[in-house]
Amino acid sequence: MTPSNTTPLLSVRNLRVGLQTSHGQLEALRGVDFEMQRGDTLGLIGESGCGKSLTALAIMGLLPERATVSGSIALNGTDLTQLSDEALCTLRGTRMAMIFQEPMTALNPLHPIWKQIAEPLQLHQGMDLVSAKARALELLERVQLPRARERLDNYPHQLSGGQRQRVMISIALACQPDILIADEPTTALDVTVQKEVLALIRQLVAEDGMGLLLISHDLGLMRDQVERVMVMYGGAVVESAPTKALFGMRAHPYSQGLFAARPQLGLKRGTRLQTIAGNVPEIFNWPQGCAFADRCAYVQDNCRQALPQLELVPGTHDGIDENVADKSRRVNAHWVRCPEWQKLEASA
Amino acid sequence: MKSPHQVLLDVQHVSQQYALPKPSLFAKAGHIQALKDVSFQLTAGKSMGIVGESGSGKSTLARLVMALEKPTQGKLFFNGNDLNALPQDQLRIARSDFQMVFQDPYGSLDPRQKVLYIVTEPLHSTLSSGSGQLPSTQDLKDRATFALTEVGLRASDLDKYPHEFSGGQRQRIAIARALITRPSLIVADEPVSALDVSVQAQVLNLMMDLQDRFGLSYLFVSHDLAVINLMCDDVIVLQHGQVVEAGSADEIFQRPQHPYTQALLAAIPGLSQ
Repeated sequence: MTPSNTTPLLSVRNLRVGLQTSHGQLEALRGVDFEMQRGDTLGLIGESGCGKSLTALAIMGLLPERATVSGSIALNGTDLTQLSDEALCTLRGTRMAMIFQEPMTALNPLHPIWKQIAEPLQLHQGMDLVSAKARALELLERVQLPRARERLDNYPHQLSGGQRQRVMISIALACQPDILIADEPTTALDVTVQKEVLALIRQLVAEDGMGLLLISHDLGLMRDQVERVMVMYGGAVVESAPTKALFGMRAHPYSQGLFAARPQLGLKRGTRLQTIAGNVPEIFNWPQGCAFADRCAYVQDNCRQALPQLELVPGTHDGIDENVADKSRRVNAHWVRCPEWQKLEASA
Repeated sequence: MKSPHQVLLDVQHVSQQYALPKPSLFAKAGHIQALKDVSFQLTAGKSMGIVGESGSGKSTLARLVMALEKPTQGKLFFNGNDLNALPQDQLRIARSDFQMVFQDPYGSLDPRQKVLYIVTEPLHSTLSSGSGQLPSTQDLKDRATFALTEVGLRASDLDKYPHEFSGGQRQRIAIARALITRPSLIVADEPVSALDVSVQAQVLNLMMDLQDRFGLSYLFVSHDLAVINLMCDDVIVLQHGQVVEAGSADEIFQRPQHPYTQALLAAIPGLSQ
């Protein structure tokens, strides 16, 4: 299949991932659907164990060996789940790239940074060492590493956390990928450094027209960085909306709880935060239906039987093609996986 | 119980230097000035927040207050006692009045010990040195049960190991361990940074409840300004080991004076809209 204007950059359909655990084979992703075009910025938000990193790893083809995948992940129309390891290796680094949370462990401590940037260039583009080094310098200058020329021969330990993350970004961008996946890229950094690195990512993504899939637990960060957010809980996307719409109104009880639990500047000293009753269930305790059912004040019997259907939240229909039957494909729609969301809205 | 308005902790002109490894055999060893002339007072029952980025000296200050290190200059008084002038055995007894909660609930609990031992360990170490009689096994168990119930866990949890708990529950165990000696001060070094948002809210609420109930003071170290704003009456902002701004939390967060404080506030994501 050749990419065309109608082929989305990335199309994830009914993605299910099973993991081998001490409790047997368990489904850790329970049908994730979304679509991205070039230039789209999409955020995945949720708490530990909800499946956001697993979604990223599944797209990159980096799941643990005994994981099972069903559904489809199409990049420019090519289904990645059907590719051989070799073919996937070629796409990884050239068409899609990933930045991880901890730049110290993601970089190789034994090689100078220029070699690590040159590696994908030699591997994927057949560059010789001299031109790869020259390109490495250009890339380091592009990610605004101060005194880039002197730093080419530095080792990771000689750089600060923020500088290392810039190096990671330059490696990810080396082969000009179509999509950049950033998994908590600034969580290990100080706030002022985080601000600079996020601005850099935003700028580079806009310049190259890449798709950005940003994973974070930080709601405030999402607000600044992405146009659309998906909230995940218990291996499923429970709500998806343009960022503005989501910050205006949360339709899912979990999204509401998550937003309300944040401490925000301006709260009076000693104000008790709103909490969500109960705890995030372990994967082997996930209910058959909605994973949030046991903590939800609005739970119905049906919620416990099967994952609830998607429902559209009206009022955010700008530019949505009503003819697309599959709600998850209406990219600008605000949808929620909760049959009771209207009661929620009424009580809010 | 301390009377209100009494100064619980008095930090006077404290500096801390660490020697760097010698670059070569005959070279002079360099120094890092981790803290420089830091002073503040913490009133009983109040909470003080320490804000700053990595390397600013936050954790060094926490270690000094816990008397885990001696400052190169300056003095720290806890309840009027000079912490670094107390003889070892008295310091040990004094320690029961200030306890610490660490950032990483996975690294700070001994994986080979049951919760009962973990939670009662401060009693062993502070009481075994002469002055106090170590309580009976039953008494230890009762006190551990009480501490666990205070933090929202159950008596049946005493026989479990740390790996059987989630991150939030582990942090509750760490808080129970800090509470068991009935301290006046808890030094909390990034106590909720490793926790998810919804779990963080539960732990912060718990810490506020405990403060109301026991009249505790917190010395609260965090990089999260919103958390400090919620938990603390007063704040000091550290940069490169120096206090660049100090005052009431309301004042500092609403009208930051120092450029560094302003930069920290401006860097919080999601506030620009």
